[in-house]
Order: sequence, then C-alpha cells, then structure tokens
Amino acid sequence: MVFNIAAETLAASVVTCLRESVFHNASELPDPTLAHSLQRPDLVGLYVSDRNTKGLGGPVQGHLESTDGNYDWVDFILNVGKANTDGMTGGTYGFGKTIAYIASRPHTIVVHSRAIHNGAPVSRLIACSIGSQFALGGILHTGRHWWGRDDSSEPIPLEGIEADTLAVRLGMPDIAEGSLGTNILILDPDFGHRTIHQGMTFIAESVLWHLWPKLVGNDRAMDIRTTLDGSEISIPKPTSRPPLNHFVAAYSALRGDGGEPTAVVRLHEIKRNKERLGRLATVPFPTPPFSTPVAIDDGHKPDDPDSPPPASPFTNRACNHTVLLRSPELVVEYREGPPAKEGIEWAGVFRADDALDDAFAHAEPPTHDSWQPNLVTLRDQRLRVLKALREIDRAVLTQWGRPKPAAAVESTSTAAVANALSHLVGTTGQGKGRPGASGGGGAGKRGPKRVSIELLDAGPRMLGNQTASYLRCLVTPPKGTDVTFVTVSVGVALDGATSDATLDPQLELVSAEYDGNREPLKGHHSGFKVFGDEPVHAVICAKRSSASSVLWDVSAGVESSTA
Amino acid sequence: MSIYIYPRLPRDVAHRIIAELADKGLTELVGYAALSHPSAAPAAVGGIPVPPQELQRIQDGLREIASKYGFPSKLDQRSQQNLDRTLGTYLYRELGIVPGDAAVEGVWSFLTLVLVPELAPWRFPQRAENRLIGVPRNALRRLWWRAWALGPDLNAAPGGCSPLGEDEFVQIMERSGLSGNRKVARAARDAAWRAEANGLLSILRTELMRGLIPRVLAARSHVVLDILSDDELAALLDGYVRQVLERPRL
Repeated sequence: MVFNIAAETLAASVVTCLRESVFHNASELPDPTLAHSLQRPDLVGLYVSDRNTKGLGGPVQGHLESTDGNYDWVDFILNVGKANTDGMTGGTYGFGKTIAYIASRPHTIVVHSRAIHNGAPVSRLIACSIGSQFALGGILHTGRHWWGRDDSSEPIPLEGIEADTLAVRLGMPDIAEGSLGTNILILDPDFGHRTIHQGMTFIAESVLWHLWPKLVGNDRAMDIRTTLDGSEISIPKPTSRPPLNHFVAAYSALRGDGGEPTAVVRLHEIKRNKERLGRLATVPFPTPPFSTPVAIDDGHKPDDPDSPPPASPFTNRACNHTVLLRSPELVVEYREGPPAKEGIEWAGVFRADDALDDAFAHAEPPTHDSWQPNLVTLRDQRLRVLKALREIDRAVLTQWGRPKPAAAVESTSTAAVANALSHLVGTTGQGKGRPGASGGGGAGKRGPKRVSIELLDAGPRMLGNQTASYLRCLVTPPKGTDVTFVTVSVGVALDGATSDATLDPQLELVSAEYDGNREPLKGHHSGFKVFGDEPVHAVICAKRSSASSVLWDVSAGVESSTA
Repeated sequence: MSIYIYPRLPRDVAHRIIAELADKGLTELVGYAALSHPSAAPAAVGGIPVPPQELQRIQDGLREIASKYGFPSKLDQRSQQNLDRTLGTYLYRELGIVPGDAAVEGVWSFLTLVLVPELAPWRFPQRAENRLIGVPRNALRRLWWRAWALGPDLNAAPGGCSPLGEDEFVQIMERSGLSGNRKVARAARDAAWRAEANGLLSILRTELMRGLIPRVLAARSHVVLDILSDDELAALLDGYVRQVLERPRL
C-alpha cells in the first residue's frame, strides 16, 4: 500500500476551477465558511491519497443493492456519521470518515476514486460538505451538501473520463492506468495554531510515532510520503527519535527477527488460565544523559503551555510505557506503567494474538486510541481484554515497580495494586485495606497478625444414634502466638451462604477435638483456645436432626504477650 | 397471543434518563413517554420485534390500570398491593415476552423509563434506582416474574383465602432457590392457602410464610423437591406448616 499526504498552496487555475466548476453556489449556502475559504488569497489543499488499494466501489446511490456486497462508496460518501444505534453491537460512528471533514475549515472535501464496479474499473468524483443543520423554505435540512452531477437531485458523482478530467484540473494526483485508489482533497486544512510547515512536520512525526511498526523491518507493509508544495518532508527514522529505538528493539524481539532475545529484552507470555492472549517484550535502558533534543518544529514550544501539543509522546517525559498492538500493527496507545529506578527507563511492546483480534478491536473507541474492556459486549471477550491489560500491568509492575520492603510482614496489602489497577474495572472503588496507607509497612511497623484456618473436610456422623455433622480444619497461628481463640457458629444451610440456627431444634454444637483434647461446646455459637504457635488439627462436631444440613462458620483471633 | 422481543435500553442511557427525569412531577412525566428510543434496540438474535402499535396498546393498558387506582394521587399500602397484583397479571398476560428476554435488564429499563416513565415513580415515590433500572427489583420486572412463578392471575385465590400480600410474594420471589422453581413456589403458596382454608391459622399468614419458606430452602439441601410427586410435595409442606404453627410462641 502506498499513502501520500501532500499539502499544496493551490494554483490559481485550481482555485478558479473550485470556485466556478465545483462550488459555483457556495455564496448561496446558509453557512458562509466555504465561500470565505474560497476567497483566501493563499488557499491550501491537503491531498490524501492511497494506491494499490481497492478504491471506493459499489453502487453510487444509497437505495441500490450491490451485486457483490460492496458498499464502500455509499458508506463513505453518504453515510458519514451514521451511528450504529443497536445497543448490542459496538458500532462505528464514522469517526474515521468525519475526521477528513473536521480537518477542513469549511468541513468540505472532494473525493476522487477509481474502483472495480460490475467487473470494470470506473472513476468517480464528488464534493461533500458537512455543515450545521438549517431550515430553508420551512423544511429542516441536515446541513450536508454534495456537488456531483448537475442533472440529478440526488448526490450522484461524475463518472469516467469526466471525473478524471476534473480531478486533473483540481490538482489531484494521477491514478495510473490499470491501478486503483482514492484521492481526497481536504479543502483549506485547519492545522490548529501551526503554520503549514509546522503542520506537515507534525503529520510526518505523528506517522512515525503511530505507524512505526509498519515502517520497520524488511517487509515494509506501507509506504507513506509527506510533501509540502512538492518537496518531501521525510518521515524520520526510528533511531533518530529516542526512545522509539527501544520500542523497535522490543518489537523486533517479539517478531523474532532480532536473533535470540538478549538478556536485556524480557519476553512475557500474557495468559488467561492456559490460553495465550498475547506476548509482551520489555527493554530497560539508561536515561540518556542530557543532550540537546532533536530540533523538531511541529509547532510545540516546551515553555509555552498554550502552544499546540507535540507529536512525540515523550517530550519532556520519561519513558515507562508499553505500546499496545493488535493485528493491524498500528499503535493503539502508549500505555503508562510504573517508573523504574533513578537513571533507568523502559519500553515495552504488547502484541495481542491474532486469534483474539476481534476482542481487542471491539475494545477500541471510534478514535482507536485505547482498549476499554467496558466497550466489549461479549462477556468472554471482555474478560480476555480485561485480563490482558491486568497481566500487562502486573508484568511491568513486578519488573519495574517499587521493590517490596525487606521486612516480609504478612499484611502486605494488595490495596495499592488494586487501586493502581482500578481504572481497569471502571469503578471508583478502592481496593480492600486502608486506602492511602502504604501497603506493607517498612521495618519497625508490625502489621496485624492473622491466623490461617484451612477447612479440610466436613460430613455427616453418628454420635450413638444421634445424627450429627463434623468439620475438620487446620488452624495455623502466626509465629510467636501464645493463645489463639477459635470461634465456631452453626446454622441450618438455606440458600448458598445463608443459614438459620432456629430451624432445627436439635441443632447444637457438641465438641472440639484437637491436640488429644476434647473440649465440650454448647449452643449455636461457641469457641475454644489453642495454645502456642504450632499448627493444630481440629475436629468440630454438632448434632442435628436427620433432615438438615449444617452451615459452618469458623474464625479466629490471637492474643500475644510479645507486643 | 404473539411472542415478541422487546427493545433493550443500555444502562448508561438509563442512568441519563433517570437523571433527566429526577425533578419532574408525576403528571409531567406522562409527557416524557415514548414508544421508542434511539438507543434502544431488541436483541439481534431474531424473533419478532414488538410493533409500535402493540407498545401503544400496552402503554394504554398500563395507564388505564394506573388511573383506576387513582393516578397520580398517593397510594396507601393496601392499594399498592392491589395495584401490584393487577399490573403483574396484566404484564404477564399482555406482553407476550419470553423468560429469556424478561431476564434482561435493558428490556425493563426501556419499559419503565421510556414507555411508562410515570408509573414506577408513582408506585415507589423514593424513586430508588433499583426500581427504575431493569434489575430484578425493578417496579415492573418483579411483577412479571411474580405472575410467571405464581400466576397467571395474581388476584386469584381459592374460596376462603385472600391473594398473597407483598411480604409473602417477597418471601418467595427474593429467594433465588425458589423463585426460579415454579412447582415448589406454587406448592408453598398452596400449602399456606390450605392452612388458611382449613381454619388452621393461629398466626398471621405472613408469619406462617416466614416460617415455611426457610424450611423449604433447608430441605433443598438433602431433598430433591423436583422429583417428588405433587402429593408427596404437598404432604412434606403440610408437615412444615404444622411445625411452624406448633412452634412455641416466643
């Protein structure tokens, strides 16, 4: 595929053609922006072209059925901004199409395309504009305009030689004999507060930062050229834009075309249970010593907060990010991770497995710049995306996150991690534990000590001719404990985890056997003491009528004299 | 009667509507009703989407019941219960919805917030979210399922008995182990009615139900109620009813 983005100061002949042959009625429109643009003395056009593609095929009128299921033309020209209102499918909002209009000050574009239709190549040309809706003659209009064949009340394009001739007059790049493709002229492009030169530099730099996987390696999948008034604005090499070179290194390691992964590159399998969701490669590198940054004039001025944003995501920012990729290998996002130690930065690349491309595609908003699990409607797909993001975050957090405090206190709270990952679940909930408290206090702080109670098994039993139930458990007090209190409650099991102790008049605790002792117990709620800090096997017994099942609830607390 | 599939309103849109209508009075809400919503669509798996004229008929039917019970004036507890029984019976008979669709939140969000937005706030003046969004306790959803499990006519009762009251319905319907099992749910209700018809009730029937239902649930841990014949099940439940009635009074 070949892509061209060319900014041209339009020649007088092109401007005349626009004013007289295409938008001859611009001055009659309710919105004066288009007429204004056409009067600009140095009118600029941005020509976006692709070749070795399919062009925009299919019928040219919305109500016609396609013979081959291709509706590219009507989808692109007529269905702009058509949202999919079915709540069951993600649906697209035509964002990719509307951006071409939004980039134009008068929201106007000219589309010229050659595609195969009914077995033969055909050229088409139409101009389209999206304005605000307005009322005219008592009828509400959508504000969408098309300029095509004059003799039709419908938006029908010029076709064949007529279309190609007008395309030449409008300065459109030639579509060679026998090839297919599309040209879009974005009229009077809006580069924000950038000059046209800064604007084109910004585009060239952005191509690098977002499409670099397509530009590296031997099988360059895409050729992209950016020009300004005919002279090339070259897309920079990844090596000339640190830290991008490190992302490329991680990417090469994933693809296995960088030889064996070196000690520096770490490969992680991102899995959900046994299923592989994708692979992650991470590369650490020393923070480069202070050096004069590459002089890039994309309109951004580091010391002016009001200047337009830079193309590079790493302007004045340390690199501790993971690039997210799926099958098309266009950068979805530079996902921020934990900063590494002083003087070290790191770069990661995650590539989702092709088999799961669908799930990750559904997680992308119309802007395709993040993965949001809540956008995925199918539950098992959503869980995979969620899990992948969690595992990526976990992998980089384990590798670069703060080292655990040396004192291995048992109370290391997962709240900190849970809170760091909370954006994944889309709730504002805090993880359990004390929010704001540092997980796992350092030396000198003692966390609360917890007894571990492991339930081994439970079942029916006979005490003489009285029906009963028993529960076997392993009580492990923390080291240094003197006394552990074990509390036991019983009830008749109802739904799931609810119980009712009053339903069975015979239900009563009988005894606890441990360490060769037999402690008598009474009632529905009772307890016993365990001395020392050795693990203890306990068997607890309760009598019941023959027609109920017992729900057990066992908990424990400690008392320690060594504070 | 035809079987239809119903539009589903996404949760975020439902939240938006709740926020927009939060400060509207009951009569004002009537004007916000609609037969469709741009963000609501039925399941894409097939079936006949409910036609607009059918939705119109249901909207009219629901509003007719509401005005019979004095909409928009405040409901007392007794009329709340009568209204619930009548609405549940109507919904179950007239919607032509299948349980699979009736178990979907979006369907009830649509009916509650778009088709008849004044109804739930009138029945539940607090306008708690779980009565407006189509979760299990939604104002209309819970009534349809009541009629599914214990209907079709919630106002029906054998001679000498009164139809179930709110607390008794809740006892049965809010126990997941019971509400999805029509056979046992109805058998429990019938056992309570038998006690009432035979003049055995020494306590309020509600109290009997509160004692009976936990016993039924406890029995499920070791008795497979589904394979008992109707007579066996009735005998078992009558035994539990006796247990409850003979309980020492505290």
